[in-house]
Amino acid sequence: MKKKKPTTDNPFFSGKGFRILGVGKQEAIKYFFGGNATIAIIVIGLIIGFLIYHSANFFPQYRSKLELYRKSGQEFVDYASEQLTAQEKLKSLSIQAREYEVKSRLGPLYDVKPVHSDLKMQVLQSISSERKNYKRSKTRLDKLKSATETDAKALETAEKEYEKAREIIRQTAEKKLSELDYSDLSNRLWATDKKYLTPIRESIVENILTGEQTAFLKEISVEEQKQTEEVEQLEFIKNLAQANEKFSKPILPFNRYVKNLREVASKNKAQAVNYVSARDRKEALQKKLEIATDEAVKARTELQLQRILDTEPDYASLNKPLYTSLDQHKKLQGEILQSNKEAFALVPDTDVFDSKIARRQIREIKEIEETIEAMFTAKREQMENWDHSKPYPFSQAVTGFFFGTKWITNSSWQDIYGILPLLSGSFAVALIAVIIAIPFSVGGAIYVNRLATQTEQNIIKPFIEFIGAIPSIVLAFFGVVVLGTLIQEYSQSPWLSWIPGFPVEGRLTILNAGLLLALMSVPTIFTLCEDALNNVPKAYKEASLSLGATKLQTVLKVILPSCASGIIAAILLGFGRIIGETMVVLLVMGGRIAIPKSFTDPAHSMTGILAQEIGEVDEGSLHWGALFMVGLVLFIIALSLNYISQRILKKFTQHG
Amino acid sequence: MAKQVSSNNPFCKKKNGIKYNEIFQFGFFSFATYCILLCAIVIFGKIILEGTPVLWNKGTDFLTKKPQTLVVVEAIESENIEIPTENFDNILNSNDDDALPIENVEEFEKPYPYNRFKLLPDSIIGEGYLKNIEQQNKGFFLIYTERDTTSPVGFSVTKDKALSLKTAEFEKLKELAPDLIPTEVTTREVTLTDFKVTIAKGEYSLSKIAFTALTPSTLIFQMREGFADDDPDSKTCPTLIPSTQTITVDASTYFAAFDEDERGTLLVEAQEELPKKTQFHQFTLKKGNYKVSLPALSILTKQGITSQHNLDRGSIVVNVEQPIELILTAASYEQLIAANPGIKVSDTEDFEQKENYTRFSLAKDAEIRIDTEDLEALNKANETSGNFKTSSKYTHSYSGGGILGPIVGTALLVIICMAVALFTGIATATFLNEYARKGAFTKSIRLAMLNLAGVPSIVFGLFGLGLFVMLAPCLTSTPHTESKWSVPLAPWGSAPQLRVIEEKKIHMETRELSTSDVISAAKADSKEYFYDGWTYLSFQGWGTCMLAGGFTLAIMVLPVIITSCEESLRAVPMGFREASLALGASKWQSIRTAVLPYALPGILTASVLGITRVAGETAPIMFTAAAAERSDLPWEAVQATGFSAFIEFLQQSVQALPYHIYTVAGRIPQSEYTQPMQYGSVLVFMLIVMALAGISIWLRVHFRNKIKW
Repeated sequence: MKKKKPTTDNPFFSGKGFRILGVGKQEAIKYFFGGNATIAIIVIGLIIGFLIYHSANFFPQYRSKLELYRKSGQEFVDYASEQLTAQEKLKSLSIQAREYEVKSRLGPLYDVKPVHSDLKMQVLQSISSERKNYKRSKTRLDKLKSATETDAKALETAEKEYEKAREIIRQTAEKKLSELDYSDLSNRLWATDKKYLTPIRESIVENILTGEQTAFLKEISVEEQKQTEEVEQLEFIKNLAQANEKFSKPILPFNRYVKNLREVASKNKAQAVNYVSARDRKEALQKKLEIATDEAVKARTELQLQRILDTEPDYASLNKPLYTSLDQHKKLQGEILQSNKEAFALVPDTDVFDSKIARRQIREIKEIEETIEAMFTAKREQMENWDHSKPYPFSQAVTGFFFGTKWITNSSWQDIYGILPLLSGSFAVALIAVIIAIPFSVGGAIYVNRLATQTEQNIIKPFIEFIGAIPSIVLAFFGVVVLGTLIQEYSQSPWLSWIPGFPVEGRLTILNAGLLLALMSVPTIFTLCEDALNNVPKAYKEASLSLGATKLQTVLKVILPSCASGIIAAILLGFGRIIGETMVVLLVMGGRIAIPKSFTDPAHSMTGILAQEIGEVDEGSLHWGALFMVGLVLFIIALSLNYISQRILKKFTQHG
Repeated sequence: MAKQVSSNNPFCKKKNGIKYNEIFQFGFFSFATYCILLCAIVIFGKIILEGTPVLWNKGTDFLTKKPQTLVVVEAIESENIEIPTENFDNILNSNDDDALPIENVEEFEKPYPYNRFKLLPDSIIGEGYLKNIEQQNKGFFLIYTERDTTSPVGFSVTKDKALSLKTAEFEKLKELAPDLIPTEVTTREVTLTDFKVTIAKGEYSLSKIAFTALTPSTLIFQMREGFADDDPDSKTCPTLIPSTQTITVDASTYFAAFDEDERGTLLVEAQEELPKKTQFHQFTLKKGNYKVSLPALSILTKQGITSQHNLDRGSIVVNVEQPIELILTAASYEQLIAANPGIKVSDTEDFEQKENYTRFSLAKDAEIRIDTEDLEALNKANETSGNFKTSSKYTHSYSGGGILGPIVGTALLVIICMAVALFTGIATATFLNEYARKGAFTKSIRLAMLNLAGVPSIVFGLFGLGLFVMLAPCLTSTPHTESKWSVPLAPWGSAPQLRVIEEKKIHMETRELSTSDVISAAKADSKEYFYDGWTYLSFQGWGTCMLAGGFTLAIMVLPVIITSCEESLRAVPMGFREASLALGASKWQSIRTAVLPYALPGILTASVLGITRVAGETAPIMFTAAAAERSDLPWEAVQATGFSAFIEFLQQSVQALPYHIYTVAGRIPQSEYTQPMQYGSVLVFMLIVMALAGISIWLRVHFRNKIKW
C-alpha cells in the first residue's frame, strides 16, 4: 500500500518502509493479528464480568426485601400456611388414593362414559353439516304441526324430508363410527375393553338421533354405581374415607385463621412498600421541579411532593394481631394433631390396594405421618420465637438462595428465589442422560474402533457426526410431539411396572428429556472415546494378542483399562454439555418448579428458567439479579466440569 | 466372529463359556452402535414422513409466504361467494384437497375504481390522510419537516348533527367560524353546584374511587399504601391528612370523595354550597363539507365530529421537490379532497383496475382453514353481498402462511455471524500458528478458547443481552434517555427531521444544559430520546436486533472456527513458508501468498461447520435477536436513506427458524391445526442444517483424500 523507497543493500527488501511510532507494516500486521487473538481472552473476561456485575446487587437487594417480608409479618403467616399446605396435601392424597383404587377395581367400566362422550364428540364434529340440515327439517315440521291450519301435503313432504335427514344422519354417523375405534381416543390412558366397543357405537348413534340417554348408558351407570358401592363397602376403603374426613375436618377453621392473618400481613406489606419507595419518588419529583419552567407544572409537582408520606409505619402496632393470634393457633394446631392421630390409625396398609398409584399415594401418606408432628412443632416454635424487629442477616439471604427449595416469582405475596429445584432438575436430567448414553456411546466407540470392518467404520463415524449436528430444537420438538406420548403409553403396560416411577403420569418428564439429551450427548462422548481408544499404543494390543488373548479379551482387559481416564474425561465433558443445554429441557421437561422425587416427574432447570423468564424481566430488578445469579452458578458448574475433564484428558494423553 | 479357542490358551479355562461370552459381548457392542443409528433414523423418518405431505400440499407457498395466524372458520352453506383468485388458491392449498364442498367455481374480472393524481409541492394535508396515501402507495414515505397550524382544515358531516356547547366554547366557535353557526340557536340554562369543604387533620380511609376523584384537586393527602391499576374500585387505603384544609371542588368530585353514605370517603368538618349557573347553546350542523380553522375543529371533535386531522400538531406541509404520481381508491380520494382545502393536485384521472376474482358456492357447511390475510380479503369481497357467513371462528397464532420470514432471518443472522467470526477466527488462527511463540500469552489464549468452548449457549445469550443489546456503544446525535453512559463528543450533530422527532419521541433541547440536565428534562417530558445539538457516544446498546444476535452467535462459534482454521494452517507444510521466505518475501507476503491460499479448503470446511452450529442455535438469539412475529421482511421496514438505512436495517429484530419452531411447538396451544406448520418448518429446518452438515463432512473427507503434500 505504501510506496517503498529502494535501497541498494538488500536485493529483496526495498527499504524499511513507512513507520509510525517505530511500528512498521510487518509489525502492524502482527499486532493486528495478535489483537484479534486476544478477543477470546477479552470475551471470557467480559462474560465473567457481566455475570458478576448484574448479579452483584442481588444478595443485598434480596436481603432488604426479605427484611420487609419479616417486618410486615408475612414470614409469620407463612409458617402457619406451610402447616396448612401439609394438611391439605394429606387430604388430597387420601381422596386421590380412594379414587384411583375405585378406578382400578372397576377396570374398563370406569372409563366407558368418558370414552363414549369422546367418541360422540368426534362423530358430531364430522357430521355437523348433516345435523344442521336435520335440525332445520325438524323445526319446519314442528312449525307445520303446531300451526292451526295445515296443508296435509306440505306436512307430508316435511315429514318425508325429516325422515330422510334422519336416515342420512344415521348412515353418516354409523359410517364414521365404524372407522373410529379406541386408537382414536383423545386420551389414550382410558382403560378400554373390546366387549364395550360395539354397544358404545350403537348407543352413540341412538343418542345422536334421540338426544336422550340411552339404555346402554343407563345400564353402565347402574353397573358402575353398583360396583362403586361394592368397592366402597370394603373395610379398608371405608377406613380411608373416614381418615379423609378426619384429615379435612380441621382444615376449614385453620384456613380461615390463615386467611385472616394473610390479610393483615398484606396490608402491612403495602404500607412498608409504600414507605420504601417514597424516597425515590420524592427525588424524581424534586428533579422534575428543578428543571420545570411552566408555572402550572411546578405547582402541580409541588402538590404531588407534599402528598408523599415519608414516616416509617409503626410495625409494632401493625403486627399486634399476629402476636395475639398465637393462642388461637395453639388451639387449632392441637385440634389438627389430635384428629390426625385418629386418622393415621385408620389409614390402611399399602398391600390391600390394587392400584399401583394408590399404593404410591398411601406410601406418601405414611411418610408424612412420620414427619408431620415434628414439622408442626417446629413451625410452632418458629412462630413463638418470631420477632418482626429482628434484623435479617445477610448470610440467611445467601443460604436462602443456595439451599432454598422454592422459586416463586411474580407473586403478589412474596417472591422467593431458591436455586435448589432448578439445580436438582438440571442435575437429574443430566445424570439420566449420561447413564443412558454411556453404554451406547462407549460401546459404540469400542465397536467402531476395534471390532467393526472398514466399511462399517466409514458409514458409522460420519453418521454419528451427523447426529451431532441435529439442532437441539428439532429434538425438543420430537420430544414434545412424539416421544412424550410414546413413553406415556408404553409405561402403562404391566410388564414395565417393575420400574420405579412407572406408569408415567405426564407426557413431559425428566425421563423424556433425559432420553433426548442422551442422544445429543452420544456424538460428544463417542468421538472423544474413540480418540482415547486410538491413542492406546499399538504394542499393548500386539502383546495381548500374542499371549493368546482373543480380540474381545484384549479390548476389555487391556485396552479399556489403559484408556479409562480418557473415557472418564469424555463422559464428564458430555455431562457438561448436557447441563448447559437449553431448548430440550425448556420444552420437554414439563416446567414444574419443584424438587423432583422420581425420574418420571416433571421438573425445571437452570437453563430453562433463564430462557423462559429473562425476556420478561426489567433490568436491574431483583428478579433480574436472581436470574443472572443462576447464570453465574451455571457458568461455574459448566466451566469446572470442562476444566476437570480437560485436565484428565491432558494427563491421559501425556501418559499415553 | 468369535474365534476358536484352543485349550492351550492361558487366558481361558472353560471352552464353551468363553465362546458364548464372546458372542454376547460382541452382540452387545454392535447392538449399542446400531441402536444409536436406529434412534436417529426413527427421528428423521418421523419428521420426514409427517413433514413431506405439508410441503407437498402447500407447495412453494410454504417457502415464499410469511407466517400468519391461521383461522379455522365454520362457514355456512351459501352461494356466490366472491374472492380474489390468488386468495382462493391459497385457501385450496391450506385445506385438504377434497375436504371442501366447493361447487360452481367460476372466474371473472371485477373492476375497482381508482384515481390517479399528482401531489404537488407545498400541499397541506392532514396526518391521517397522509398515512392513508402511504398505505395505498407502497414506496411513498414522506419525511416532512414542517407542520402548519394556521391554514384551514376541512371536515364533512354525513348526517345532520345536533351540537350543544357551553358559553365559553360557543363564543369561541362563533369568533373562529361565524359561518358555521346557523341563525337558530336555542339556549338552555343549567344550575351546577360547587362545594367548599373543610377537612380536619387526622387518619382516614380512602377508597379508590375517592382517590381518583381527588387526584386532580389541590387537597394534600398522604396515602399509607398505594393503589395498583388492577385494584377494584371498592378497595380502601389508610390515608393521613397532615393538616386541616379548605378546598373547593365540583359536584362530581364532591359526591365521589366526600359523600358520607359511601365507605372510604372523607369526613367533612364544614361545608358550603356554591351554586353556579351554566348556559348551553344548541344548534344543528347541516350535512355537507365545511372548512374551519384548527382550534374550531378541535371544539367540534369534542362534540363527536370525526376527522383524521391531528388536532394538536396541525397539518403537514408536503416538502417534495417534484410532483409525485400517486393512486388512491375513488372513495378515499373523494374524502381526501373534501377534508384538505390546502391540497394541490393536478392531472387527476379516473381509471379502473381489474382484478381476477373467483366465484364459488359452498354445497354444505364446512370447516375451512384460512390464513388471516385471505380471510380479510374474503370478508372484504363479500361485505356488501353478505354471502359469506360463519358460525364460529378459532384462531391459531403463527400456524398459517409459510416460513419465509424465519428463513430470511436465519440467513441474515448466519451471514452477519460468519462475517464477524471468520474475520477474527482467521486472524487469531494466523497469529497463533504463524507469529506467536510459545509463552504465557499463547497459553492464556488457548486456555480462554478452551473455556469458551465449554460455556453453555444460554450464558452466551445472557452475555449478548448484557453487552450488545443493552450496553454496546452507538454514535448518535439522539441518544436514549436510559443510556448507561452518554459521552458528548462534538458540539454538532445532524438534527432529526420533524417526522422522526414525533415518531421516535425525541426531546428537543434548545437551552445550553449539561447532559445530565437534558436527560432529566427529557424524562420529565416523558420522551425516550433527546437531541441537544451534540453528537454523543452513547452506551445504550443496539437493542434486540440481528446485529446483536449475529455478534453473540459469532462469539459462541469462535472457538470452533479458530481451532479448525488453525488445524488447516498447520497442515500447510513448513517448506512452503521456508521457500517463500528464502525467495525474499516478507513474513506477511509469504503468509498471504504461500500459506493462506493452501489453507483455504480447510477454512471453507470450518466455516460450513460453523454455519451448521450457528443456524441450529436457539438459546443465544432468544433475547438478542429473535422476534416471534413480524409482518414484513427486514428490508421492507427500512425508512431511512443512505448509510443510515443500512444501520437501520441491521438494527431490526428478525424471525429465525429455530425460534419459530420454539414458538409453534412450545408457546402456543397445541392442536391438529398447528401440526402442519410444526412439521413443515421442522422438516425444512432439518433439511437445511443437515445439508450443511453433510457438506462439511463431505468437504473434509474430500480434501483429506485429495490434498496430499
